[in-house]
Amino acid sequence: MSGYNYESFGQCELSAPDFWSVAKVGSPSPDFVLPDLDGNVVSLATLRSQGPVLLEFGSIT
Amino acid sequence: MTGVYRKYRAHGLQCCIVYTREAHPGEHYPHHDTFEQKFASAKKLRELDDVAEIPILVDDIAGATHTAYGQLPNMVYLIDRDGIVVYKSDWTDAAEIDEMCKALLRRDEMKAQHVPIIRQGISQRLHWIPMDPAHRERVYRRSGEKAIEDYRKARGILPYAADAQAAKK
Repeated sequence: MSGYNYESFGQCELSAPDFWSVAKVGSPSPDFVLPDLDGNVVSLATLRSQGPVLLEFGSIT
Repeated sequence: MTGVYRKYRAHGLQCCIVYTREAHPGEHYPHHDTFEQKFASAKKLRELDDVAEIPILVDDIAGATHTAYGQLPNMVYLIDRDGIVVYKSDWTDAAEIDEMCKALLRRDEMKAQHVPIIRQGISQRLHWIPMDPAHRERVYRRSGEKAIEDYRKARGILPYAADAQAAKK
């Protein structure tokens, strides 16, 4: 499989969005609604209603 | 991340990790074909990386949230209560994140006390990620030989080659 879920690092898309052109500093952050590992559904809107949000992106590898 | 979270959570800081595609898929942690598989890998991340205190959110299989934020493998964002991005980085620098959290909480305090703010400014900076061959070798070996070989094919050097920075110059 290639595309977003590439099988090999060498297939990593060069057409990825430019990091600095999206979700810019001083601009609204894109909202999301995602499941956590305990079966809760978490939205950015809910998180930020409770305080500033530190968001990290990552994987095992 | 955990250190920063512990330090500021009493002040309301919310913290979470968005689990994305595997950056360097290998035989032990391959790419995802289904959301179920991605969810299972995210659970594995919680076991492996000792991040039990910080909730892990699982992005959809197409990576919609990852893409909306720029699709890099180790991005960090700090977002204020109004949903405005106040900090973004292409790398996790704990000291810098700590400093930013402190600054944002100070601003919120100023707002609460109606202290006038003259204007909102912006800064940019470069940072330099030191090469840690032992750490990188651990991470790539965790993924498997395939991940090491894929990196070597794509970049022409081993991912944990000590002279990687020199080779890139």
